[in-house]
Amino acid sequence: MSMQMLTILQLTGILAAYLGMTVLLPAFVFYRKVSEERFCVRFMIYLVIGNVYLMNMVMVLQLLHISNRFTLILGTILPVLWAMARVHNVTVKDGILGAARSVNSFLSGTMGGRLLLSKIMRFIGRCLKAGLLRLLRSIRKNFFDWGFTAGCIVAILWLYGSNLIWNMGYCTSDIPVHNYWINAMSRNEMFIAGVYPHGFHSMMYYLHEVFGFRTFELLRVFCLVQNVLVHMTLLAFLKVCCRTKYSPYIAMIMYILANIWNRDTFTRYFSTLPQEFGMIFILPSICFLYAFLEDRARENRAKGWKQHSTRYLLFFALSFSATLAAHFYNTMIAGIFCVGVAMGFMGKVFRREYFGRIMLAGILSIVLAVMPMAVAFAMGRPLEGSLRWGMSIIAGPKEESGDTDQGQGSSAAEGTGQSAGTQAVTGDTGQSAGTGQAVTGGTGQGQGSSGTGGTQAVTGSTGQPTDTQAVTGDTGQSAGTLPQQDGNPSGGMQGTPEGAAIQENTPPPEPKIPLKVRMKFWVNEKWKKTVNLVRGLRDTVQLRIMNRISAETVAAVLFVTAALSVLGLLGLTARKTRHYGCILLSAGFCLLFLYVVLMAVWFGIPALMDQTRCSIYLAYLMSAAVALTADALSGLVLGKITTPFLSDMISLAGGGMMAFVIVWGGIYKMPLSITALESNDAITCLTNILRDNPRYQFTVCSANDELRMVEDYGYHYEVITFLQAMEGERQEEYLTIPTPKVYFFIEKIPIDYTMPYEGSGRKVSEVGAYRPLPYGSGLSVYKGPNRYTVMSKMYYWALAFKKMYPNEMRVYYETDAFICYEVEQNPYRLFDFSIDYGYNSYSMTDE
Amino acid sequence: MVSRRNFVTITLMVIIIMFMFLFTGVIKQELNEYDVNNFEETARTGLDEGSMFRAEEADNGGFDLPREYALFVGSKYSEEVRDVVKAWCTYTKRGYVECESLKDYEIPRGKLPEVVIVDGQYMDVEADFPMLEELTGRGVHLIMARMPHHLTMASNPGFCEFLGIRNVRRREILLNGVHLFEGFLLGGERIYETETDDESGLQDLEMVVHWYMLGSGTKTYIMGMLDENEYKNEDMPAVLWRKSTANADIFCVNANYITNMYGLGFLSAMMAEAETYEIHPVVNAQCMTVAEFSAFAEDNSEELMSLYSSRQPALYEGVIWPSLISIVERTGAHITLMAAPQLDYEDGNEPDSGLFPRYMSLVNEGHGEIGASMGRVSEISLEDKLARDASFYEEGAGKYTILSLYAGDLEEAAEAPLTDYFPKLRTIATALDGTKPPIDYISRDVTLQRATAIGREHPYSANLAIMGYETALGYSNIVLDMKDVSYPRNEKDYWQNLTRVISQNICTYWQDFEVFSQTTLAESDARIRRFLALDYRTEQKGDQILLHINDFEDTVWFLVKLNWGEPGEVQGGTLQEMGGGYYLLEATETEVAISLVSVELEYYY
Repeated sequence: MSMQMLTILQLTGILAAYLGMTVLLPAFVFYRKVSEERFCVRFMIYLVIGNVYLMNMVMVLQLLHISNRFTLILGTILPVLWAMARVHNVTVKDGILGAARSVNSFLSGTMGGRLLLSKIMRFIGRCLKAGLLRLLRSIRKNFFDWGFTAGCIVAILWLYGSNLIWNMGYCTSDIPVHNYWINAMSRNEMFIAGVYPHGFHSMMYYLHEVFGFRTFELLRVFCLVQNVLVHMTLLAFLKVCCRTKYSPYIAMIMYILANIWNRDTFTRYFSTLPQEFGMIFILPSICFLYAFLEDRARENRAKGWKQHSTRYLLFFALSFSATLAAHFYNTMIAGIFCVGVAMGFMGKVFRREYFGRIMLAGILSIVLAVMPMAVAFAMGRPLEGSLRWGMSIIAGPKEESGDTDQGQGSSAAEGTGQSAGTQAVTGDTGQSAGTGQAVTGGTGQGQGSSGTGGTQAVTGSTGQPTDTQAVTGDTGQSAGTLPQQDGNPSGGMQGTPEGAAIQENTPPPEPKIPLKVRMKFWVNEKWKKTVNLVRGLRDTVQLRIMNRISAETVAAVLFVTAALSVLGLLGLTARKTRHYGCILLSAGFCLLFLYVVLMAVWFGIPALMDQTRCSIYLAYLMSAAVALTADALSGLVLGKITTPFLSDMISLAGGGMMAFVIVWGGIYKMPLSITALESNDAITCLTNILRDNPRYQFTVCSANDELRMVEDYGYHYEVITFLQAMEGERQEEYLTIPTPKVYFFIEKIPIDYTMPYEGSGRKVSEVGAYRPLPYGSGLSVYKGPNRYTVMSKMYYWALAFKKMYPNEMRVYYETDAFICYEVEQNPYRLFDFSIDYGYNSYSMTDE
Repeated sequence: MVSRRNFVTITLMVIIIMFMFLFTGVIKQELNEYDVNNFEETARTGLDEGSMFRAEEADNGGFDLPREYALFVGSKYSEEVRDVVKAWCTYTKRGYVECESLKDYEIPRGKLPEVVIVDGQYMDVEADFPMLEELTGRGVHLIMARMPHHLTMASNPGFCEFLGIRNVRRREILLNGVHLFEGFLLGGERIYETETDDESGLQDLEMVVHWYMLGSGTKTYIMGMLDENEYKNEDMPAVLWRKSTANADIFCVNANYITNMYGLGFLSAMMAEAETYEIHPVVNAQCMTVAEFSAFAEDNSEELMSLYSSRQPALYEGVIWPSLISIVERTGAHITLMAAPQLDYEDGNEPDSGLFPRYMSLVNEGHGEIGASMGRVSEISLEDKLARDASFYEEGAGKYTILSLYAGDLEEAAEAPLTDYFPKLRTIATALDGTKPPIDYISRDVTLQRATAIGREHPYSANLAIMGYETALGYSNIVLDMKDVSYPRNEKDYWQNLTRVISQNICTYWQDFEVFSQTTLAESDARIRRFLALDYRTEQKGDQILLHINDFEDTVWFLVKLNWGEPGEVQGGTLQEMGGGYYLLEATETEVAISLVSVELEYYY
């Protein structure tokens, strides 16, 4: 079977398992309770319930150290039965008695096996039939909707799924860390590297343990599943918010198909990462908040919790907690959106009958997400590196205040920019191999050192991002305007020693300036700053988010998103559209706040999120904003003069026009090939090895990612450790690997692991083998020319060893760029792998 | 009152039932030609000693390809090793060259020896080492059949390194046991370690060996066992290992295995490890010989009556024969019953020849064969015995042709006029002797089949011997000497004890060799004649192994060991897997081609 076909089968299986457990099973249980909701709302409800329950169940079982397949299945089935009993108004006792009666009649022979089977089959058949009929009705009724949705899914599968076929390795270097954490959960060692949101890991572990998917296969393939859901929740959110039927597809077309986005805004979708998993729950939480605010208004201040609106609050709390359980960044975005909602619904949110409930739901959601981590922390688990950084951000002002104050001019001599909150985390975890530091330059220019996560962080109290500076350089002002933000009109002078000297001398009394002149000066200054800010925003958005279109087009998009607030205000004018107007306003505020986060450096506030990460969310929400604007125009403005049907048609035309422009302009996306950090050959070979060998009967000796991939199935030996054992002082008397089979992964053409180098793509050679073995820590020995050296040495070692053991060592898998040798040895008498292969310092004679 | 109709029905039913039960017995009796030895015709070959290949007289045998040969280096004291090597060369159709020392050896300009076998115990290391290096450098494999003295080794670190020895850890070490790893000998893995006092009698292997620590590039096949808690496996003494050099393999045997004839199997296994494949001919015969079967006269009646409350004929018929049949049925063996009309010729009890046809019939039903035993307890010459037995065979055997004999004392049998009494005699089975070739010609027309195991005892060396013989020859001959039952010397000889041990041993230790054919001695005689007359060459062309065999009758067998790939299509024969990379090849044509296919590893691609 080809690996491509295997990948497709794995994807199908994982998709079915995940959607089955998080959508279909909750739907089966709770349909009766939420049947009056719209399909898109139901979808989000099921998704949230399924995910939150499974994540928390896994975490509870892990904390109790009783997590295994049996308890997980039990923990899934029992609550399902209980919930079904509740939903169908049957007591648990009655249910058990009924089941016992059936079992009894089966055992006593009253009911034959065939009868029981036919009963079960008929029940399943009824359910399937009912479900299918509903689906068919829905398709007939909403044919275009289903068609467009299917089109979106196909587009996502094509655009993001092709890479799964082309590049089978992990595409980011921190996935092995997540793999490691998930593997540890198999041993009931949650938080093995410290306390960290484990919602994503819990879900992966659940799929691995219950359905038997290998963790590394999940991590290879699940990105596409979560990617589909991230897009589907966007669609569902817009379906809930929009007044017209087809406006949401404008966002989908723009976000999925338009080739206007910076690659950084969507390349992470090619990897299975917690942040992207958590994105699934951002928009549902906001959607449920909107639903609560709308529903609560209808309840006419009714007291007590047994109100219809409470369910939305519950779902809001669950989805909000899911964002935190998956990744903190998602909570930040959801929180920012919530603040936007508070601003948009200012008239309602701060009322007594809303505020208390929302706050309580928010607090409970945070408690729910934090509880497992808090328990683990209380049990003595330290915080994981990323969380320490998060805590430092929270505690930041204490440390930063001094720096910031200094930077703001108390000491002009030092006022050239100090680091404030200068540590950022790259990757999701910041844990891997000492990655993830960002340093702000004293000159006010931030430079993020790219770690394994391949991201940058730019922070600084008065610093300016290098990239932005480069772009705005043509304005001639942007760099100079920054110090002025401190409120000192003297501008650049403050940041110089001369300025300090002037301040130390007693200043001469200022001549009295007329009010008119001062006002004019003040207005001019403010105008100039505003213009600079808007230009800066436009340039930053162009650089970070939409780098494939002109600045003018970016400005137009920004204008469209800004128009949202204006249209929201328009919506507020009529009682009938007030809620809708508030939604538009809240979305507008959300975007505004996100722009502030993006431009945090400009504003001199601590950057909660680096620009690269922020741009991912902004791209996601800007698409939604464009769709909402289009919806407001067709539904709100034109809707006043047309019928709803015509509005729908206008929105459909809008979507069509968007698609036409994209196709006509040739700005449609094509599937990307993301460079993987492991070759397809290695993955293919590893898959064969896992299939051919019983558990823990083999060792893979390779360069890196296989370490975590084989953890639950076999053993791994680092190539560098292997080679070092044959070198100089580290040479071992015996180098043995205690498994019957040992596989050596050797890249005949070493891959460029995160960094190309001079001579990239050349074959291993004696020249490389003659070079001294690189010494270092972490992944550095496998990067650049070091990898070439390591692989060359391994290649010649293998040739020499094969000469010694021609019958015991054989080629297991070979392509032009890769070769895997299999050594079969007697576990009672292991081979000594330490040999003189001609390119090491080892020598029998010397010894 | 039974009606007539019912009466007829009942009568018919009774007749039918009687017919059904009796019919098979009657047919069996009628069709059983027990008075004819079927093997006289079916197991006949025209081969005799003149057609046998002998290593010392080897020519090229009419093949285009040159014959491989072994060079043995040993002194006049290396007799035991020499015999084994010579027999091995004979059986594997290799040429044999011998010299006392390599000092004076001149490397031939033509074909180099395939392997040099050195009796290290008597070698002059300093003199021979340079030549050994030279030969191995040219791709000649080396087998150290015994290791040099430890002082010699300690004083020659270069030689130690050459043999793969990192250092000499201790002069001698007493082992707890010996671990033979899987994949070396046919039969798989064995651990020869006694865990209880009851088993202590089983340990008869060499337990004191030199303790060498091996270096890299070595592979151990037999390891001495020490306390696992105290020593790592890597540190335990190596007993048989291989050191690979760039062109050749060096095997070292740190024990006296090659001084015994079962060392034949070790030599074949070593050659199999040295190459990507190895093919050598085998007999493919598993014999079970019941010798001195004296069920016809009332010998030693007093003792037997006290022990079994029955006389000898009744004991054999009622007790011993059913036990033997049980073993035969469980193992599928073809029994060769060596009848001894009587053991005591002086007690006045003459054998009852009327019992003989019954055993002939029973043996014939089990595809067995009846032969004659030469054993007795009386002081009577073999010639007299033969004369006195002649009338018994005339009366009892009728026209049954005796083809095989069992003679405990081979020298005596060689001098006796056996062919006068047994004119169609083809083969003689004899007792176990580990220092003599197990199969050979005793005269121009009569083959010798030595016992390779005795059923009543199975110490570790016997187990190792089975594996060695099976690996080298695919042959075994278990001899059960029933004289001990008729004249028990101690409690172990009581049948109730003996049968349990025999049953355990035979049913257990031969299971790994079930692929080999079960034969009577006459059948194996035919196979041995073909085996000894056989000559062959092998070559590899691409992914095909070609086997060229000289002319042969019927079928011959080879043992094939593949270290790479798996056999695909076979032309001119059929292959049967035996485990550990070994296959039994049944060749029906003189040209056999075995296609090798690489093991299909890539399920996903």
